[in-house]
Amino acid sequence: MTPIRTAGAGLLLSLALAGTAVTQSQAHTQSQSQPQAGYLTNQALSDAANDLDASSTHAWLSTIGSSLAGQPIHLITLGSSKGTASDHPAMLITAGIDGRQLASTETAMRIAQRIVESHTDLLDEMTIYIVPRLNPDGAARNLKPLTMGDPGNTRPVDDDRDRLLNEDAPDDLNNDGYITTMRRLNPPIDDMPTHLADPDDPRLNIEPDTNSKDGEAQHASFTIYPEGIDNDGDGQINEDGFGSVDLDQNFMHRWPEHATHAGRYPLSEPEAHAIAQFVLENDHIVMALTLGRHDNLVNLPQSGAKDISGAAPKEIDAKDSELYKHASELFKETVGYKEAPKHDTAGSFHAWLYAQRGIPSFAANAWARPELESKDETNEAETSTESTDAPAEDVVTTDSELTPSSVGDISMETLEELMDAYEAFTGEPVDQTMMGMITPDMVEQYAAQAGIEIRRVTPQAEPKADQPKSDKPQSDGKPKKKKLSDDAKWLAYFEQAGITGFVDWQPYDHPTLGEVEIGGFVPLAKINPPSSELDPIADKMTAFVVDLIDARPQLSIVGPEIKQLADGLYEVRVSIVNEGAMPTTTAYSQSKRTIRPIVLRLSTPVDQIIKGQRVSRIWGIAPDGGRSDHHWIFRTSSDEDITDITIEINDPRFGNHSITLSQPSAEDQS
Amino acid sequence: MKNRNRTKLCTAGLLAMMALSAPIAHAQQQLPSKVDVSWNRYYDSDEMTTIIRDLVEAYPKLLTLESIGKSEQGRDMWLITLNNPETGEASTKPAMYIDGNVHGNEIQATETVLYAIWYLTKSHGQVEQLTELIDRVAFYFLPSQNPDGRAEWFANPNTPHSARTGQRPTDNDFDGLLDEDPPEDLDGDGHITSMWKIDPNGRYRRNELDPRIIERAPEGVQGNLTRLGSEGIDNDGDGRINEDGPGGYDMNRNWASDWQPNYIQFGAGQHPFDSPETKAVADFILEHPNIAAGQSYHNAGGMILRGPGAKYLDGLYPRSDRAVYDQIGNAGEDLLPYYDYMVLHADLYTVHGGFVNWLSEGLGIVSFTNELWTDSRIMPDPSREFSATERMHWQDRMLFGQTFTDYTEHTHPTHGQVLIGGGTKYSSRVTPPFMLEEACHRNFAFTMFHAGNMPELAFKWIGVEQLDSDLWEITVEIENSKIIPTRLALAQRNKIGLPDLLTLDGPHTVLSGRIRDRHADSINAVTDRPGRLLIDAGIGGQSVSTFRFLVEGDEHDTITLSYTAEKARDIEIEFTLKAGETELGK
Repeated sequence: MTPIRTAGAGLLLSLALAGTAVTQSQAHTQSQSQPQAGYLTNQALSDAANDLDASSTHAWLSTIGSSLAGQPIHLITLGSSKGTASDHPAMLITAGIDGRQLASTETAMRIAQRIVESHTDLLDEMTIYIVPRLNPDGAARNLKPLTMGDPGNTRPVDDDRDRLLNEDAPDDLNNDGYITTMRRLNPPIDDMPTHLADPDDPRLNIEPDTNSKDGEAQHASFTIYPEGIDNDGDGQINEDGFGSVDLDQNFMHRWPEHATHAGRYPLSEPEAHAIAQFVLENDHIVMALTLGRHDNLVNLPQSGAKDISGAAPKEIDAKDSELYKHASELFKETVGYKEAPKHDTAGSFHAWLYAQRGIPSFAANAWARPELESKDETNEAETSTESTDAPAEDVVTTDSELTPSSVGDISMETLEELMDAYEAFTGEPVDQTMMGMITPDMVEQYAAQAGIEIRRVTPQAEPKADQPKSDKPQSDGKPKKKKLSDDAKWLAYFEQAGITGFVDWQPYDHPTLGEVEIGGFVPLAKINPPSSELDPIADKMTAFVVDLIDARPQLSIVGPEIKQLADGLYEVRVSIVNEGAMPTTTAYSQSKRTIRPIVLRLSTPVDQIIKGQRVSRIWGIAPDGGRSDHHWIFRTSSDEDITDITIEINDPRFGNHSITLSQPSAEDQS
Repeated sequence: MKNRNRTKLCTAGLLAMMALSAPIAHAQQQLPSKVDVSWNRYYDSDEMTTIIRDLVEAYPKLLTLESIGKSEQGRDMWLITLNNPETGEASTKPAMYIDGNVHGNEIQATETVLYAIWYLTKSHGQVEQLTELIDRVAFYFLPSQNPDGRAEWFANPNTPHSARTGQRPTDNDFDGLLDEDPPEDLDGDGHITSMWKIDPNGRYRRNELDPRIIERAPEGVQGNLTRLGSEGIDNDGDGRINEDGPGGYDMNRNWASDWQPNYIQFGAGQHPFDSPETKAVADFILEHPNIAAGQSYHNAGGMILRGPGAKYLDGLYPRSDRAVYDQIGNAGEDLLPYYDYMVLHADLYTVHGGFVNWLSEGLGIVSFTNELWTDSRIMPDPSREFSATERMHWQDRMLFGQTFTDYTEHTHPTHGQVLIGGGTKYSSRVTPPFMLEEACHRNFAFTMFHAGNMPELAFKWIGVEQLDSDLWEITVEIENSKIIPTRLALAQRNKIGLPDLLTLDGPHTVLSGRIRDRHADSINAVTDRPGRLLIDAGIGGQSVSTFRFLVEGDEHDTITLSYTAEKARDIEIEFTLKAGETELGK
């Protein structure tokens, strides 16, 4: 019952080693060698947003809530005139959910500026909501030079569950102004080496390729750690730093319940809750673009696969493939990124918008590494996306995880199956002392007898990225063209662009690890470009946004066509047509009826309707001329004129309309 | 008659014997409470609040009252903590959380919770077994999770099934209007009963012997009634009747574990805890990690339910955890005749986002939902269904006609001539009031068995051996004498909650670890901060765990061992470093 103690002493120690922090009064970060140089602090972002509000008659600033530490979460509304935002369907652009994705915020702000500068005509058709930075606390942390590159907010999380909070944060041991990584050379027996230097470029760490056919198999020679010391003496380094919940794992769709950084429950974080509330209250949002670490435009999202319940799509439903292909083409034409890393979308914001809110939801990285200049083979190389940096935490889902047991690499699940089989066979439960003495060989024997498949826990749960196979046999005598790994391409790019994205390895005598080398990729260097790139990026992204808006669903009412069939007996047809290139909602939500429909209501009482419904529901209308046809035959009562009858269309997205049935002309009468 | 005399004689004899043997402290099992509550009737939300206040006022040492939030309509969510402060703060003890009535129509759940508070408070200091329980553990009682639904059910005409929902207006039929088509009490009997259309082509008819029974017309016989549903009119003129009444969501699908949206799980809301009631309860539970057991009463069916709510979550109930649930669930079957211990998805139906599922699977709290009341308790032969005639006899001869409204004919605005009548809201699901007290007591007994099996730790044995001049080996056995482990296997696997912690203060610890038993030689040794041994697996139910420390010290050094677990009382022991063994009795 002892409450968690924050290990203040440890934290102070690590801060003392960290060196001077950037003062918040500076509008932009100073050091040009930092990837965050030239990026907006929270204050600067507020200023820019306020400037936009003040200088434009099409932009208004408000907040949707506050962060955990009390920072405002800005909302910029772009519209034709103040107060008419809800009168049009809306697009939502969200950025800065992941605290490292600083470029996404810059891009979102620049898009806002460009729209009010040159595209206000679009605002007559569509409102644009922009939340440039959902995670101001995480951004503030990452804007400091000594950032470890953590995506989350500032919720205290006991990462290593040792009943102490945030007691082992990173340390800049060699005072080079970066938190990088350490290679422990010649690790002792209890610290199994995992990597070796890439023979083609010793700066890079690779995992040993034990299947190497030509030449010797490779052996790992060092272990990798984040730069720091074991502040709390538990044998681990930097395992419990500033703690955080990753906001982009805190939403409802496929919420990874027991993942360390997914939050205590969906929307547990005020930032996530704020934007979810905003979306729920503004059901006139008909499309969304989320800039951050996820992407479904360069690489099409997985279509057709289901989540663990079998009832929801894992990424998208097969019926929406066309929609995403179309958006992907627009993205290629305007922004043209060729690659994007893949992350599990469980609990992410954009996935929730698609799966549960029926919103065509697009996600893109603000920046992609440009193609390398010259060097023939490098451009064609198939990229292995496996990187040896500390990855964004891989999300743990219950559908594929096996639990280790104390018996070799046999999983607990297999052991339990065996115990069940034993019990079923003998009628008695397994003796626990016996279980304590079981060996992997015994398990293999019993499993074979019982016909049970052994499921093992492998030390590396992810398969290694396939080494691209060389296409041709080596008989022509030419030197083998080696394809570059993703990390190698990063190095080449940093060199070409003159960016400090990588710190060369320097020896260091570590207090507990012994001989190490400190170096490696600079946090955020692979995510945020030099600030000089931000304007060109924004130009392209704005063009993409304009294209999306041009593709928006556009409804028109066809009719009413009225025929008088007899005295007081009328036939009426009305169609609602979508001339836009996108559907009104996703095809998935249409089939599952996930969100409220467009409602048509005829004013005629039910007992006078002969064909048709008084209340009709339109769950969605397909693009490019898709239509929803409505057909009624009804009687009017003796004191009622057909012009008294109305059809009410009730729809938050496209607005409410009232159709009056005018008197049919002489030719219409049959 | 005969029996009564015999009982009288027995009692007299017993009293006589007791008079000879010891002074009578109290009349056995007939303890008065300071608060007089009748358990043969039901109480609406206001009356419930009065009983709560009276109990808290009468037993101020044991009971604390707080409102943990407000419902949709502004009613307090009453949380009563029952704890003996003389034996420690509630937060230092394992606690059981007990609530009911998340579905507003499942009314007897509240009386069952109130009964537990009433019985425990009057028993403390009087009944040894319960005194010991109250001194050892804490209770958090929430008599109604849905006070708005409860109030609505009592105040207005309803069926046994309606007012299940919270009372936030909701567009259930997707027509853009909120709660625009509720049922109406057309025959004015104060209940929403059934409505039948008088229809020459109908498939149903009134029973020839007892016209109160409406049955399917036998083959070859023309019926004259068609079922229309509940009584009401088409308020919004859309051709449907009663399709959008008050509320229309299910707060027992609004919890964070395996929460699924509305189109997959009806009534789930837009996200977990989007109702003020569920949010208040969730916040309370998350702030009290000492909660080690949970019960949420519902009606009906005679079930003791545990998760998982969906087949694909079976893996969240590993073997050793299932054994714990089985032991407690099976004990419940003995205490509750005609109740069955069941697994939600397998034996009942799929539930996504259920409350006890969140407690168990999300938070590692051993929890059950009891579905109170089963008709088997009143059937002449529980092995077969009640016949319609037997049902009528019950309601006529035992209940004196109080749960049935006879059919009357009315003119319906759109359906012409209709018959309206049938069972009232008390006619099913709700325990007949005269049987309520026994039902409360039996469920109370099961819940106390459950509570009494929250983990209880004690140091059992300590062995000290001197290995070298200043190297000592300390072996300690800690016993958990109760069924529930300090950490479920699920909690360990999914990193739920905090590991237990065993610390050694005094001389420097070189290494430590868990060992198989006191005779074992090898340890799975921890060398980093070994004086602070984290035990993610906890101590299992009704078992002994053994730990070993190697320390550098001198004879007569003082050693303090402390064990702390989220779901058990902390224990600590101090001793002197000296070779030898010590049995520690309790």
